[in-house]
Order: sequence, then C-alpha cells, then structure tokens
Amino acid sequence: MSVGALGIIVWLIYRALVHNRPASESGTRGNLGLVLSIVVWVLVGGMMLVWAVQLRAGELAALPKLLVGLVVLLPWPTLRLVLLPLGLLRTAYYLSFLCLVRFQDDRRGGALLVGAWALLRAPQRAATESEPALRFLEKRLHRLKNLRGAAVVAMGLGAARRGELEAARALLESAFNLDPAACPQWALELAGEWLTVDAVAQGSWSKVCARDSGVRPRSPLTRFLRACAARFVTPAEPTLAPPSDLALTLAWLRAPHRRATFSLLQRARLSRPQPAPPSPAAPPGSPEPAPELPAALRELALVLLAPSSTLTQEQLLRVCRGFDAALRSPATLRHLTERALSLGQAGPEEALRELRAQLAALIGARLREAALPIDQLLATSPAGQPASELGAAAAQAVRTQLLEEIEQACDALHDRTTDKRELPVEDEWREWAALRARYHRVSQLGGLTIRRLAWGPLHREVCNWAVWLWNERRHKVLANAVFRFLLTEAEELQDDSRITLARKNVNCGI
Amino acid sequence: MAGQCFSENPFYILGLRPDCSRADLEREGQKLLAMLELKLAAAGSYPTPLGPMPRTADSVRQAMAELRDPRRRLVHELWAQLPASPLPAEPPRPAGPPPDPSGSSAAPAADPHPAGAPPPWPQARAALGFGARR
Repeated sequence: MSVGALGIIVWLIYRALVHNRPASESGTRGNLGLVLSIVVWVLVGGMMLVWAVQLRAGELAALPKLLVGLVVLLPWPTLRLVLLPLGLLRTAYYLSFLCLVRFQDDRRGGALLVGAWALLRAPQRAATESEPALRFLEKRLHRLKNLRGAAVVAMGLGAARRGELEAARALLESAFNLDPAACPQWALELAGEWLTVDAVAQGSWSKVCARDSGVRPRSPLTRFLRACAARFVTPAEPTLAPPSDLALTLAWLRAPHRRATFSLLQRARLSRPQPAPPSPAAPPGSPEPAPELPAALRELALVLLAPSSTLTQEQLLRVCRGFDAALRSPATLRHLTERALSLGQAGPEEALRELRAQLAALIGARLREAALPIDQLLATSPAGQPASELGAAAAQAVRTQLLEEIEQACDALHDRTTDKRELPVEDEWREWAALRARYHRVSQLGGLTIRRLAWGPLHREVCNWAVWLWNERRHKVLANAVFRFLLTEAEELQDDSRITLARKNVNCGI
Repeated sequence: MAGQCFSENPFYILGLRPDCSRADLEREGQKLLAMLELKLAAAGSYPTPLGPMPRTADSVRQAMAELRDPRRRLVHELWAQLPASPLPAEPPRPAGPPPDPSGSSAAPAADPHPAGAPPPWPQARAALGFGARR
C-alpha cells in the first residue's frame, strides 16, 4: 500500500469523525487529531522500518518512499525547515493539512497562515509577481465561514507581503484580542514576532520593550529581541530588568537566525540601560529663544528638514516658543507695522493672525507625522499659562482632528450597522483592525483626556456593531474579540458602567 | 506638503527679497517667464531653505499674482524673512551612538534613538524570517 493511499484512508476516517461537529467541541476535535497522529505514526513508522530494511538490502526504490514517509511523519519540521524558507506557497498550504495536532480546530486557517508566511518569504522580483499567489490565498480566505486567529494572522502577513505595513500592524495587533480558544498560541507568537521584528526594522527599541508586555505569548526570537531592548533602553515596564550577559547569550542561542542577530548580541552585551528620559513637563530653566523671526524660521525649517522619526516634543516646543517670542518682540512688531503701512494696510494684525494659523497647522502636521504626543504642548504652568501659545494652538488643532477622525469612523460604522449593510467577514475584520489602530493612535497622541473623549462614541458604535455581528450574523469570534477589546479599554479607563456590560458580552463566548 | 510656506513662497520663486518694490516684482517675473519660455536651465529651479525646487511658468505667474495683493504679500514677507540659501539637512547633535563592534553595514549617521540603541535595521524583516533573502 502506498503512502498516498494510506494517507487518503486516514484522512477520510478523520473527516468522518469530525464532520459536522460543532465548534464548541473543540477539545474533542483536538483529541481526535492527537489520536489520528498516533495512528499515522504507528502505521507509517512501521512501514518506514520495512522500507529502511529494503534500502539497506540495496533496493533504491525504497528511498523515495522513505522520504515521503518522513514528510508525512514530520510535516511541521518539513514546513519550517524546507518549504517556508523556499517560499513554496501552495506546497506549504497543502502539506500543512497533515499537521493534525498543531492546527487542531483551525486547519484551514492554519494552512492559510502557513501559505501567507511562505509567500512572505518567497522572492519577489516584480511588484505584480505575487499577485496570483495572493489571489490563491484571498480565494481560500473568502471561503472561510468564520475567521479565527490563524486566518487573521494570515491576513496580516498577506498585507505585509503587499507592502501595506500599517494594515499589517493593525491586523496583527487585533489578533491579541481573540479568545485563546479561537487562536492557536503559535499563531499569536508569530504575530508578536512579526510586530517585534517590525519595530526593530524601524529602530524603535522602546516599542520592542513596550510591545509584547503583559501576558502575550513570546517566541524565542521575540524573547531575544526583548532582552536586547532591555539593554538598549529603559523599559517602561518596571518588571523587565536588563538581562545579564549570560541570560542574553542563552536567549540568543535559543532563538533562530543566530548569524543575522550575532552583531545585535555583541552590541547588546556592550550596552547598559540608559537613564529614564526627562519628564515631559516644560523645562523651566531652558533659555528663552532669541526673539528674532529669521531665527525662529530657521529653527522651523530645520524641523521640517529633519526625518520625522528623529523629532522630539522638546524640539517642537522650542520652535513654538521661538515664534512666540519673535512675534511678541517690539522690533518685529515695529518692522511689520512699517511694512503693512507701506503696502497700504491698516496694520499687521491680520497677517500675523494668518501666520499663526499657518504655523499652528504646520507644527500640528509635523506632530502627527512624528507621532508625538501633544500633552507637552498643551501643558500649562501653575499660573495657567501654556508652555507656548503657538504650541497650544497646534496641539488643539491636532486634538480636534483626532476626535473628528474617530467620530467620522464611528459614524460610518453606525450607518452601516443601522442599514445592516454586510461586508464579507474578512473585510469586517479589516475594518475593525483599522478602527482599533486609529483609536490606539488617537490615545497615543492625545493622551488620557482625548482617549476618554474618544471612548464614548467608540464604545457606543462598536458595541452595537459587535452585537449585530454576534446575534444576527453569527461571526462570534470577531464579535468576541471586539467585546474583549472593549472590556480591556473600559477597565483601563475605569468606566464601571461599561465594564459590567462588556463582561456580560465577553461571557457570551464564541 | 508640510513645508509649502517655505518651498512655494512667491519671493523664493521669483528670487526676490521681501523688501523689493512692485517694479522689481514685475520685471523679475517677466524675465523669468521669458527664460522659462526659452527653456533656460538657470530658470528651471530656485533655492529655498528646504532645498532647490522646480520652477514653472505657472508657479511664476501665481507668485506674481500673490505678491500683487498687499494683504497676501505681507504674510509671504513674514515667511521670506529667512534667506533662501539651503540649510544643513541635519541639526548638530551632541553625541552619536557607540560604534557597532561588528562593523555592521546597516548604520545610518543620524540616530534618533536612545544613545546605545542600534539604528533602524530595514533589512530586519528579511533577515529574521519575514521576507525574501536577497
């Protein structure tokens, strides 16, 4: 009997056993997978012994059978060590169905994830080259009735392959709100690993520390990168002590891609954690900028020229204070008045007002590009004076924009829920991931005050939408992930009335 | 574009100082339009504090129109207080990151990140299993 025929028979038995079982019987299905794996191991292992004896006797025909048997017995190592590095999407996709224990209840989702991962590693010579492969995955994704964790992570990796890194980040982050029963741990590890590697690619080591905090599952590579980050920056998480040299080396030894990360290990061994960054409050003793308009303009031009990732709140505050001083200085006002009169204008007030508005818009745009929090610009002195009038105006403009964006997104969701306009489940998930990422960005930039302001409309619309998904459309996994997010957020904001509701919704299960 | 007030300032487009007269404005504008008509390379771009920008006949006409309006001109004068000469791309920094002991090639000059932390590593995704190796 050939291995193929045996595989088909075993597969049919498995299908017959698990067919039409409800999702709630996930444990039973997982146990069946384990039992079936043992059966396959006993049968194929026995046959492999026979083939090994035949090979030893000089029968070369037994060699391919042995190799096929090896693949059947060890599908996951074959995937990880051979097919994924080679980027063989379709082969990886189909072979992953042999991973009976690892993928347990989400075989199709697991296969999609393996396929997306293989595609991510496939060489891409032209922009359109991966289109057929992406279509292959999209088609199978569309066939899924209910998305679970592995499929969500697959969508994230697919977005990364298309170069849509923001979408990939949003989708992979959203996977962490899933019910643990709906998302295999290794899929979450993979999502966390991609996000950590992405932060490393951006050089954002503080994000490496911040990300992956809490109870998220961590892969060996994530652990190593996190250990390096703890050496490079002072982590916000007080429990994350910088590792010793030995611990760092052990983490490196456990992680894959050791050759690529060796220089990182060396660098981390030489580094010691840096002192905590200064308090975001306005530095009281900092020198007042020179009250000259050209000097202030020069500072602004330098800020515009600098890459946004290098900007700090202090730099922008300094620019704002420079303009405050320059536009208040008698010399500037005298010069402007003279110019206004020579041009036949009543005075410079209107031009100054317009200049301030342009400056506030420019600084606000820069704040957003650099993803800097606005709290320092909104900070006031004990006497109630803002650190900078221009800075406060820029921060207010950003604050208004952020709240408007969230309200628009919530309104769109409200309209869709009221009109019962359905999207395919994968698009529902994409929309949720985008909204979640937007809310996160608003919270990050705006601080606690804006987070509280955005929370009200977000909760109302998102909760109604998720209830619709749960009650009528039966997308329980997605709805439950949304309820979990709402619960976490309500707890963090200490919104007692909504905590009770969110707990009740989360307890409805998947 | 964030720096439009600098990069599209009519005074920079016309190559004039903020205290120029109306006659200077008309003369310079007509001269530039003629040069652009003849496709002279010297008229093809203009310096700004953010670096050279391309100059077109449309932008010259628009700049002249803006400066003919006294109210608009006063706002543009404020922005043009900074001379048009390009500024250095990077502000001076007090200290750089320590050198990479392995001599890794991925080390840009500017380090926005905490001292000691490695700079961005754009190839990280490919090197660590999330992209195609070249």
